[in-house]
Amino acid sequence: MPLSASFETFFEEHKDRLFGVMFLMTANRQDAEELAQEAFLKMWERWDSVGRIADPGAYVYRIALNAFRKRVRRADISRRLTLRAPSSTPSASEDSLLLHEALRVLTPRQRAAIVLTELLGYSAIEASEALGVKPSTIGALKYQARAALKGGPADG
Amino acid sequence: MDDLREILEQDLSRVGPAAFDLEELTTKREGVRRKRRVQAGILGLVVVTILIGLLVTALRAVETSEPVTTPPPRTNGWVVYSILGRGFDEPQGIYVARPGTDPKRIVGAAGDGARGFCPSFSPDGSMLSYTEGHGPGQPPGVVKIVVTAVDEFAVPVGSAQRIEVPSRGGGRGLCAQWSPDGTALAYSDSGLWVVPIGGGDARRLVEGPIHGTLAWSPDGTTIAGTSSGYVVLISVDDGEMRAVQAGTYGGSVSWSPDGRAVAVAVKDGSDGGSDRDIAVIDIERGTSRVLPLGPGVTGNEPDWSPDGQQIAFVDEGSIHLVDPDTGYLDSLPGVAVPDPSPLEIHAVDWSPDGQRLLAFGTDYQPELAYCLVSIAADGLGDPVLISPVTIAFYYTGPSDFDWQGVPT
Repeated sequence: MPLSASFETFFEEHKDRLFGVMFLMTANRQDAEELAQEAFLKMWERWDSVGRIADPGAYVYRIALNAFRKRVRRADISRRLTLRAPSSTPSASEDSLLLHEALRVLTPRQRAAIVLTELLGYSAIEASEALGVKPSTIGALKYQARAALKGGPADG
Repeated sequence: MDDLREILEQDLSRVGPAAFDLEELTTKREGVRRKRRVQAGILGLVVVTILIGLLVTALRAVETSEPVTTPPPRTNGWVVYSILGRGFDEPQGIYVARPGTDPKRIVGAAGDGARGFCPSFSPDGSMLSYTEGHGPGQPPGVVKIVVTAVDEFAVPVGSAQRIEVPSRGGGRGLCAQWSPDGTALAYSDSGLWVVPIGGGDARRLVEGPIHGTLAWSPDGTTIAGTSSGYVVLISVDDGEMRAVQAGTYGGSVSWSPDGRAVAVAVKDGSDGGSDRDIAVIDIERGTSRVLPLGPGVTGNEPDWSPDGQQIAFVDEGSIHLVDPDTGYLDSLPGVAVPDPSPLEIHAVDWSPDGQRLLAFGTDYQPELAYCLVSIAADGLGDPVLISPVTIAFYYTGPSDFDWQGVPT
């Protein structure tokens, strides 16, 4: 099947930023690539219909965020399942060193909250929908993130 | 918080461009599509396998659900009955009759002392069998099952086949039953025996007493009877016996025309066992259900209609019909022949066309006597007297009358 020219344009236009945003949220290059590619693949499959909507860019971010949310949820479940395992000292990965030192200490949810609201300009409600949490939780996550960036607690 | 946004933008620029391009995405897309095709293929294979399985199961169900041998439609021929009352006004013997004609004695003659009982027409109506008991000049301890062809008037023609059966007690209970294809007879005498028509040795399928009226399954593979309070199903091939229902009293077992079930009278546990219900036994599952006959109604001598829609039975002298599926009960009006006082009915037998019932009953007025009458199964129309009203029927039982079926 020949490539749709408009999808190719769309892909080239959004791939780096979507990958970057996903990297900020996951602090892992491989995860970011997988999430971004998954979003583009789904977008491509539906391009005939989705390509005609007003803002397909927002749509591909929504797809990527849904995938991110599922991964975080799975990670939460996995963490709960291994709660009794001996804790190891967290060490910064090579990828995460690309992040500002302050961002490294944040949890994925906290990072996602500030990425969505500060970088992508989502409202609290939009961010809450994207992350599958209550709007008030977005406020709490942002507060925790700011406190962490200022050297305070980063629980969350 | 511009500083936070600035930090994020700086980090974003530091991350650099995505390492994947459209070519990689295309490759991945093809991989995803291939995987989906494989999954769809596997799913399709699973679905097809399931569908084939369901189809095979359905076909098997259809195969097993359809009667192996569908009885051909038949019209009503002659009624045959035996009179056993020696010394009464009516000479003993075997008679044939039909409405509008005088009964005709076809077995026995004045003064010959022969005792014939359990007359039964072959399924196609061309042959007659009966049991010949002890008579003058006959050795004791031996009875004979007589098989003879009959003409259009149900009169025996040609030479008869006589099957000698060593039997205790004069053989009164020895009533042979035709196989559905008319090639063999089954009888019970210290076990269950099957004997071929036209010659050949009798074959004992099981030892031990088998009571009640033997009943061939419509496909001819199984014979039902009762033994020690159980309904037993006996394979004609190898004599394997299976008990499927307890609580019977040894009466008639009647097959449904499709061969899926039998109906039998069972003891009602509610009153200590003297009352009787009718149970329908699923042959394949071995399960049974008691038909709700209603308070005070007792089920005796069930007989399944040729179309399978109703089971006729008698209760306290009255005839009832019950739908074996719904349990809907219908009661026929009293049989007021030959006089206005109703007969007390003891047994019924469906006519071959399923439109009428042959009933045997007692008339108490003006004196004790018995008779056979034909009654419309829908209860409409007047009953028709088939036999004389005579005390000579004194020894007659349900196996002593039969209605000839004539293939259409």
